[in-house]
Amino acid sequence: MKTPGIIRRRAIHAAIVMALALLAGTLAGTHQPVRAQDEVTLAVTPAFEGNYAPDRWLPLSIVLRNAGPPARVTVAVASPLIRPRNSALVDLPGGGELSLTLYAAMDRSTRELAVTVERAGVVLAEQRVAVRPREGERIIGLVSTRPLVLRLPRREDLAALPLLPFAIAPEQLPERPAGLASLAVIVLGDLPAQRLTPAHLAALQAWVRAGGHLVIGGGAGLATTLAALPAPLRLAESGAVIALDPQPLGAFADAPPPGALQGVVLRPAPDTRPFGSSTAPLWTRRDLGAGRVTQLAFDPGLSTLQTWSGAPALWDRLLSPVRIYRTVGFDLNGDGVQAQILASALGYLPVIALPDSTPLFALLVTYTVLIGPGLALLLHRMDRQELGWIALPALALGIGAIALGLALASRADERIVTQVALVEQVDDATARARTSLGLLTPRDERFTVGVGGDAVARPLLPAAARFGAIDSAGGDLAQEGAALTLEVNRWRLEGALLEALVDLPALDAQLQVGADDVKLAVRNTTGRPLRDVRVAYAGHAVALGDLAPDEAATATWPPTARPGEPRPQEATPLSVVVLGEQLVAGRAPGSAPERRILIREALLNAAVAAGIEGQAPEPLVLAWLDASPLPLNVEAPGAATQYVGLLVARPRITGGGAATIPAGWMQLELADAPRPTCTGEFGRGLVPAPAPLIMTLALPADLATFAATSATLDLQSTRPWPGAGITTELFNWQTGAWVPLSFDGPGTIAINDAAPFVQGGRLRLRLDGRIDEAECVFATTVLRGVLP
Amino acid sequence: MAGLTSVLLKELRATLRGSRAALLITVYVGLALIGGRLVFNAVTGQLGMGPPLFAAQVGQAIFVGLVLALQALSVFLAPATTVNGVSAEYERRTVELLAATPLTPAWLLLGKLLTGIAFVLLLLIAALPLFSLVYLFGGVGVADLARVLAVMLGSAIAGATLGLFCSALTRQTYAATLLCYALLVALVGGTLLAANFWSLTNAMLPAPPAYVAANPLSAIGAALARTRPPEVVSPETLRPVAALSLLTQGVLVEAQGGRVVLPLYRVSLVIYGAASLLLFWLSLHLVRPRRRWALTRDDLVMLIISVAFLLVVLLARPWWQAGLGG
Repeated sequence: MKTPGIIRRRAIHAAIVMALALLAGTLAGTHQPVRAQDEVTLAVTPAFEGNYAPDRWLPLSIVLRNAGPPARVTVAVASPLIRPRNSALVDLPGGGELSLTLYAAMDRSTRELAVTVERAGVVLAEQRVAVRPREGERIIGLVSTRPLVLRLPRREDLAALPLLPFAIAPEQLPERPAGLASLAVIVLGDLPAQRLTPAHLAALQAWVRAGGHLVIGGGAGLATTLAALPAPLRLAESGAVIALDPQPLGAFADAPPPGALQGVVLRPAPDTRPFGSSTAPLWTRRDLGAGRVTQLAFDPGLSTLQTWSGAPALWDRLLSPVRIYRTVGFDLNGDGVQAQILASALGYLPVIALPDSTPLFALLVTYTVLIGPGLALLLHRMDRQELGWIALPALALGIGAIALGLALASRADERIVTQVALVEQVDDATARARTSLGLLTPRDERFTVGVGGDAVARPLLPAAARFGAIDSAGGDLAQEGAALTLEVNRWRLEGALLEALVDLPALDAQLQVGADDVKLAVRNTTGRPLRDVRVAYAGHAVALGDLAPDEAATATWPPTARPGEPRPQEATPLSVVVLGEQLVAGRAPGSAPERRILIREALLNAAVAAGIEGQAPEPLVLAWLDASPLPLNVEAPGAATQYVGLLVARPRITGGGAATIPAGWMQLELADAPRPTCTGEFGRGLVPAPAPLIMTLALPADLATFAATSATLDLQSTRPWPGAGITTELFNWQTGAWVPLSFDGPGTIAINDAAPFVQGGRLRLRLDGRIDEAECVFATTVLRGVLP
Repeated sequence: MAGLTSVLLKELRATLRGSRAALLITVYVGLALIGGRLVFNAVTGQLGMGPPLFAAQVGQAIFVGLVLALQALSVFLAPATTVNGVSAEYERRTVELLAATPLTPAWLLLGKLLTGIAFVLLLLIAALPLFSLVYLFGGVGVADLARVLAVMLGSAIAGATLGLFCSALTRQTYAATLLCYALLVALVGGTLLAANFWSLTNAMLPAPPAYVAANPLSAIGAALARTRPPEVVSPETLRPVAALSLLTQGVLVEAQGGRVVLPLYRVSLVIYGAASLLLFWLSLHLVRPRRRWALTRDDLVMLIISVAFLLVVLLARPWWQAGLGG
């Protein structure tokens, strides 16, 4: 017979054995890794052989093959250095193949991308792609139906900005400006008219306006190429095939001229800048937005140029970026600066009023008295103190419910959603919209963002704000209209930058130049309300008020300063010209500018980010939008939302008959002769040292056909104008010679017969001698003449 | 079970009798409310003094202040509810009487412990309406509140068990109180001191979170890390928020894609669970008048409970190991 002690010990032993067995079973359990399926394969080909400009896009051509049943899969591209992924949701046909272009938003240092195909979180296929950042290098796209070979300078022969050419078939040209953003220059070779779609052309135009340099090859195929291009990109009509004069080419490249140079006769538009012979120029140029178009008379792939010793220097100089921007490093178009400003604008968070807490505090003080001495006294009187175990929780929960209800009823917004949108008109029916989206939340949160358009999204460029750093959200940045999922860290202002080409009818805006004044006429043809519409140029911003759809407004351009009078506003940034009073009022002692005004300031700066020191190089129509044409729907109920959107369009300048061009409209042209600029009470000028100082003044492109009859030229300087030893000359475009003027400055020069000196809307002035003592030289003209 | 019920009823009645309980509740709720108001004043005093201030920031700052105040009070109040549980019976010489009843030492201890925990729970419930202040300003979710309440309750149970253990060990209320609070101070202060010493001797790097895993203030600090208001709020005027950094050595980790919060409180809960079981088990032996260390049926029950607890801990390994960055 077993004793109770033995039974007890056995029971304890049995329990220990069972427990150990359970433990062993638990420890033996392992997780099975997710296995990839072999039915789906992918082949990834990065554009530009994987080379990319920092903080730009890299299009990836992806071919998916599916041996299994149809499936909806996510194709994503990730970098270990970039927080969010770019992705696309695609329906993969069963037993079929599918091609797509995935846009990867790059940083400045990623060297490998992982492209995955996933379904419900399971990786079906993966490919790693080697990529390489190219900071301070010119990535050149050679777009042609036939191989286009240029004799480019070798990397080791250049001190800076080496060239990296990549051949691109016309049909492979990205259909989004984002896809072209890595390219500094695009050279178009033979281009059959049918090869480019409207999307290609809109992207190309938007890319140029953002700062790209488009070079259109000439030769026998020029007429066909031109037929494929929209009007703003066509600079000259193509004429007969001739042997071009190669001498200017030799001079341009500092080399002996090449041999026979076959090309076509270019008939440049009046607002372009031809180079070479006046009858058959070698090329002509026009600035478009922040970018440039160069149209060649000769085929860039000519065999003559392949063997010519001056070819490397020619291409080094001809295929130059329009501007070099300094952001974090080198940037060869204005997109980076604009993206930086749009991200920074998110830092101006709206003011959210704190709820009144006094009633709640009063309730809680009363509660404290009730729950402690009040309840104890009551129960003591009843001699039922044990009831406290029920009464106290009941009272706490009851008062708690009332207090919670009171709190929730007057609760403030917890999260903030800010959208800052810049919409720039590209052509008559298309605009480029860039929207920075910022989210601020007190807890780690995932947001779903519906995108009302075919946009691509990229991480926000890091920026600093008063609240703290602005950075990119994590998550999946889906393209082609799919919803984004943004993972936002608590108390970090994070988000994404979205961009798309959107359908937007162009604003009908005109500046009518007359004999005595300039009239403004704007009709809102965009189909959406426009707020506080203004036309800005040359230091003025004429307000036209709000415009409902189809509503029109007119105004007269304000009288400008007469020659000799100070014109400081001409050197004022556009944002100050437009928002001056509001900014000044907000920055007065004891006050702060409204956050919306600060966002507007940032947006105006972004609109002219590619220009010089925040000024518009051409007349602009500016209007604030109630809603973006690229709508973003952030699923964040109860969040405080803030949206500020700016539409930037270009008015046409028209007229007929006698016309007077106001002072300040003819602006310094800096494109081909970079020289430091300076500012002073007479606006923007040029540093005259070293002499000679050549100043080219140009009218807006629409006034290129203006036939000047007389001109008043006003020359001023910051330091006293040297009394002697200065020669002043004007360039006679008809004879190609400099004509000396009798001028002992400073002050005005009346030119009675201005026709020879103003051609294509340009006037060129040369000051030599002791002019370098003047520190900063300003030139202003008032032109009178006829507009055809 | 009848024994347990009778002990429980007696103890529950006795706990609320007299003015001590009412005073404790008033002090507990009142101090927490004063703490909340002070934090509110400190935060809103910064309006217009630099970075923008959002309602959720105010809510989170009040939440941090309230919870830290309540936890500090709970940590030192919880042992007090049980520290005389066994010793009082010896001091009143009622142990022999109890030994003559069918009441087993296990039921006696469990009754004392549950009463102590119930009183701490009552205090927490009494303080609940104060959290409506937090919901007025936002920034804190129900999950955040549940997390901190779980940690407060876990540490309170451990504290009550410690009090009971000290009482059973010394059998004198005075000695038990001294021992209990000495241990508590060593735990709270000692671990923080050790962590900061590690920091000082390691180029001011944050100490490994394991150093403060058993510290109840660090545990609540870790539970609060997800509701920590941004550092743009000046820490000089927000001492509770500044204290979080001190309490939560190494809990906030900078990582790719932002700052990661290690849920150290999960490790703390495991430690408190294990410590409570161990201390209660030891108390079961200590409370016996004779043959203290002989194995009984109570030990088997405790073994089964301990193994079950260990199993749960093992199964939940990924959950709590995340607290150590694993």
